[in-house]
Amino acid sequence: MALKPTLRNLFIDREFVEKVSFLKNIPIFDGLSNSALGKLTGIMYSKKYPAGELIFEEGKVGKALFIIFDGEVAITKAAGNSEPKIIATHEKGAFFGEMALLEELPRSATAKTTKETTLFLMYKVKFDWFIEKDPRVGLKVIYNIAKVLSGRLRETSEFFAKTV
Amino acid sequence: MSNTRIYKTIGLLLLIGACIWFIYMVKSILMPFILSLVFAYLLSPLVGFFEAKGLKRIVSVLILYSIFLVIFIGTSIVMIPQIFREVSVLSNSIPEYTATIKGSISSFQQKVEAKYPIIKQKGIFDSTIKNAEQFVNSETSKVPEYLAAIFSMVSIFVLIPFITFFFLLEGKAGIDFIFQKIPPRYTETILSLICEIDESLGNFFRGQFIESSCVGALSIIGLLILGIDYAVLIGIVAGLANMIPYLGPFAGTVPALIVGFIEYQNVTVMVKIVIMFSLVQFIDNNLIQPIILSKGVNLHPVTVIFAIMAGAQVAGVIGMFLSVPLVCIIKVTFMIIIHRKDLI
Repeated sequence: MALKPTLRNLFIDREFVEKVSFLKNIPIFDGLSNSALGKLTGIMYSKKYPAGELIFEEGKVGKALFIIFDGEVAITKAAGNSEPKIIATHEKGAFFGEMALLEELPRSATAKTTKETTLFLMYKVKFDWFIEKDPRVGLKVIYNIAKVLSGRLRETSEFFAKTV
Repeated sequence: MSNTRIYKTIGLLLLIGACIWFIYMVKSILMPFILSLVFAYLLSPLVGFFEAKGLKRIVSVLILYSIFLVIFIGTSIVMIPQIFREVSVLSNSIPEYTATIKGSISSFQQKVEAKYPIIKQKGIFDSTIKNAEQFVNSETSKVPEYLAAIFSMVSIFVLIPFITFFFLLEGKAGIDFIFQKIPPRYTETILSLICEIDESLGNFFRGQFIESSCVGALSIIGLLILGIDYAVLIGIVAGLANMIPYLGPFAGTVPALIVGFIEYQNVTVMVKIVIMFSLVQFIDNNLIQPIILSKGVNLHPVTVIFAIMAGAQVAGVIGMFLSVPLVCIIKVTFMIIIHRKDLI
C-alpha cells in the first residue's frame, strides 16, 4: 500500500501537479482536463518580478497573457499630465493582458507589480502554434476568453449607464 | 555615460571577446557538442510530451532514451547486416570496377587514337590518365583523414547521446535561469523574439528531418525497384544529402549514377535513375513539403548557396548542414528587429 505514494513521488513532478491544480481555477481554462492543462503548461513561462517593477507599458504592443501565480499587480492608466490612475489591482489567480492572445495591438494600460510577484506568461506566437496542434483545447480557451471579455464589456456598459 | 557604465560595457565586450577566442581555440572538439545541442533541441518536444503527462523530466528523458534504444536495436537487427553486406560487397568489387573502368577508357583511347594519331604522338591520353590516377590515389588516401575529421565513431555512438542526455535533462533549467536574468521590463520583448525564432527554427529542423527520412525511404524503394546495387547505402546518402538545399538532391543522385553505370554500363539505366530521383524530388516538393511545412523560413537560393559554401569552409560537412539553420536564426532575428520596432 505504501508503495503507491513512493512510486508516485518517484515518477510524478509535484511542481507540475501544483501548477495544473492552480490553472484549473483560472476562468480562461475553465472546463479543461488535466491532460489539456498539462499541454498548456508546455507553452507557459514563469518569471519572478520584484516589487514595483514594470511588466508592460501602455501603448506598447502586447504579445502575452499574464497569470498571477503569487503576488499583486496594479493596472494603471495615464491621465494627462497628472499621476497615472490605478484602475484595478489584481491578486493571485487573476489574469490580465488576455487580448494579446487575440490580436497584436498596443496595450490599453500599464501593469506594475506592487509586491514580489510570480507570473505565468503565455505568448501569442506559442498559443497560435498550440491552436494548430490541438484545435479542440485551443477553441475552448478562446471561447473562455470571449466569455471573460463579454462579462467585462457588460460591466463597462452598466458602469456607463449608471454614470451617464 | 557614467564611468561605471563605461567599465561595465568594456568588461562585457572583453568577456565576449574572450568567449569567442576560447571557442576558436577549442573549435576542433566543438562538433559533438553542437550536434548534441541540435539533437536536444529536436528531441525536447518529445520530452515535453511526457512532461505534459505529469512525469518528472528525468523520467521523461529516460523513457525517450529507452524508446530510442528499442528502435535503434530493432533497426540495427534489420538494417546493419544489409549495410555491412553492401559495404563488404562494395570493397570486394572495387578492383573489378577499377578494371572495368580502365577497360572502357582503354578501348575509348584506342578508338580516339586510331582516328586522331596526333593524340598518340603527343601522349595526351597517357599523361591525362596518369594525372587522373595520381589525383584519385592521393585523394582516396586522404578519405580516412576526412572521415576522422568529420567525427569519430566514438562520438556518434557514445559521446553524442551522452551529451544530448545532459542537454535534455538540464537544458530547461538552464533556459529558465537565463530567462529569470532578463530585466523584467524587457521580458515580453525578448521572450517574444525567442518564441518566434523557436517556432521558425523548430519547424525548419523537424521538417528537414521528416523530409530527409521520406526522401531516403523513397530513394531506397526506387533503387531497389530499378535493381541498383547498394540501394540502402545510396538511399541513406540521398536522404542525408537532401538536408542541404539545392545541392543535396544532386549529391544524392551522383553515387547512384556511378554505381548504375558500373553495374549495367548503359545509358538507359542512368536515365531511369535520373527519372527516379526526379520523381522523388517531385513527390518531395509537391506532397511532402506542403504537408510538413518545412519551408518555415524562405531564404534566397544565392543566400543558401553562399551559406553552404561558407559553412563548408569553416566546419566541413557538418558546417554545410548547420549553415542554413544558422542563417535562418539570423534572418528571423533581423526580420523581427526591422519589422517589429513596436516591440522595442
